[in-house]
Amino acid sequence: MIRAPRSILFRIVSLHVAALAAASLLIPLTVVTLLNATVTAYERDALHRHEAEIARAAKFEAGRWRLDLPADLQALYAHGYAGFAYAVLDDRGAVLFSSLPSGASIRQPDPWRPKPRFFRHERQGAVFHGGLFHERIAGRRLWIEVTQNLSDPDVVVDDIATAFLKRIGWLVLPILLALLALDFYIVRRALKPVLEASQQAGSLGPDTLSVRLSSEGMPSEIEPLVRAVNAALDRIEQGYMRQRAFTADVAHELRTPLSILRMRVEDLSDADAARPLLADIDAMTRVVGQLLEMAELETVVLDPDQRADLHALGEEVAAYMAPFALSQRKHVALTGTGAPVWVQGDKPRLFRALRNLIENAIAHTPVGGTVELVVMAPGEIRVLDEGPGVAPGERELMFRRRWRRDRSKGDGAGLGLSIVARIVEAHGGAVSVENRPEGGAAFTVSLIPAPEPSAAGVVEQGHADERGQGDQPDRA
Amino acid sequence: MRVLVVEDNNELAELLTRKLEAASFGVDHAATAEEAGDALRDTRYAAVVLDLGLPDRDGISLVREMRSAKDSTPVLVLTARSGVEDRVAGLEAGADDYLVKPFAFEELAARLRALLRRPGEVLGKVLETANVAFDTEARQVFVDGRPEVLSARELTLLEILMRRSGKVVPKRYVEDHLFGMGAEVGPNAVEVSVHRLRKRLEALKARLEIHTVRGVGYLLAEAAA
Repeated sequence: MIRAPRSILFRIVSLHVAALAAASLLIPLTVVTLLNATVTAYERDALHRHEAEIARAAKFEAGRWRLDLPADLQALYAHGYAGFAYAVLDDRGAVLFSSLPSGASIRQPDPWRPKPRFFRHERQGAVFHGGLFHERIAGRRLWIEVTQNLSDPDVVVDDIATAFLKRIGWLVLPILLALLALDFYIVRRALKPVLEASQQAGSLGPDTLSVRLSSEGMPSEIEPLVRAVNAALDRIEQGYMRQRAFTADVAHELRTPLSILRMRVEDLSDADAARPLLADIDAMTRVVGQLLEMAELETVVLDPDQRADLHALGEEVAAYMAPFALSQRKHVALTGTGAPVWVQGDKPRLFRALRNLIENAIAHTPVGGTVELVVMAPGEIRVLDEGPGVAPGERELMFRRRWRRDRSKGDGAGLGLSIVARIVEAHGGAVSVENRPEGGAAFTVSLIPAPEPSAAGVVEQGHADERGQGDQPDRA
Repeated sequence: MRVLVVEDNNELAELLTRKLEAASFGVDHAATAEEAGDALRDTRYAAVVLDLGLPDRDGISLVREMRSAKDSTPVLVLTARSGVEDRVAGLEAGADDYLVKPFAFEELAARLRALLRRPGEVLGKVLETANVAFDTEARQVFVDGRPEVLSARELTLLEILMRRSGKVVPKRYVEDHLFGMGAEVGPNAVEVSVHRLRKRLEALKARLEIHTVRGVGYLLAEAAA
């Protein structure tokens, strides 16, 4: 079933079309009906007048009927002026006089119905309209039939109604079209503020949360909606700002003491004692970082216009993680397509998702092993490790917050995967995990392919800062 | 060389001051943006170490203020936030570098030295990794202090890698700088050059290792013991 378009313009105009169509049918029909009734009454009146003249001329003398028509009337009937004709019948229905060429009458009288009877009769392509009247003259019953041949060129009354209908019919169409155009214009004009508000709403994004819909010129039916939307935006913006301020505060409160702790530990003269402590601080730092990322992601709304090249991203993440991997005598490699693979996405956030996946893969890959990134068109990137793989029961839990293969490690790796899931989800993509036939796990991130951005967009997406991302694992 | 440390946490400020002084910097300390502003008006500093989370106002606004007052003192931002947006905001406001807390002090000192060196001295310096020193001005390599002779191509490649020691140098970058931009080179030209340099370094007993990051580039690091 085809669903009707939901635009107000369409609805109003289509309802108007229906109403106008009904009206444009009903009005001519009513007019024509009334006109026909008038015409009929007029015709009957004419028939009656003729009958009265004839009745006056009919006389019964010396046992016979005579018809003394005045000369002018005789001439009229003889010429069949305006198609009029008469027939006079006696009590038994025998024709006494007739002006019709056949010398007969059209109808036979019905003795039991003395009231005038009107009829229409078609013969040889001609339409006759007639009346059969009952008269009592000199105590004798007489039937007088008066007919008019409506096909006679002198008869005009009957044509009026038909002609009227035809003209009205031609008038109705342009009027209907003009009203439609007017409708279109009126509705468009009335809806202009609504359209403008829709455009404003369309420009809302994570960076333009301060935009409010304008209620200027807004129809009063829609104004409450606009006000409600603006109020909701106020609350969202406040919540967003509060959340951002909160994460900033928490970050400061947690990271400053960690900085102090780290510097004190660096000062220890016993390097062997300091090393595990520094590793602890690094692990702690990572957990804090991931908690903050998680908190930040709760408020994330992505701009759907952003583009990222998965190949360039893969190169950057691989380059970024390689020193960390090499410090553990593990390798990172980038394979797959060498051409750009554009997807819808926020590059810094996708970077974080991939970094977390690679950190996880490095953690599970034995010394000497390789973590492989595979970029595939149209919008997929895979991270392959050489670890023990994932047990079937673990797969679903994997991306949930706080789940970790080995809870005794306490390095926040579980949070890492839930961050991955959250980022990918916010991009409208999917992340899955499976075991490789040759051993190890394969994480696949699928994103929404996008066309290559315009030249301006490329510059924006351009080269990541050489100094890299500041929170590079310090163990490297 | 005098640096201004703007940090509201007294303990961290003290530690930073002590360690920077030990690393032969002169240090002044400001605990608020206002104090920092005053100090910057009175004294010409070689660099500013600025914490973004200040009690009176955002550190970024201080950087913006400095830049609009045509004060080009290098600023190293310390931030508690690792969000990329925050970093970008700091750099856009005119900061020269940033470091996310917590950081290794050596990293801070290295970044600070790098800022102070900018821009002129890049050529006349000696690159050092493990037991290898590279005098970029004289184009002379020393292994354990003894001068060694390398071919021109080996020297160029080693310089490219030593300049970014510990980091991945993209293969494309190596290709462009080794053979010139847009030069027609065979698909294995870079691999062959790297292979030769590896052999050469091994022969010279240099404790350097050139790692291949497949599909990305090369990374030079001190060889594992």
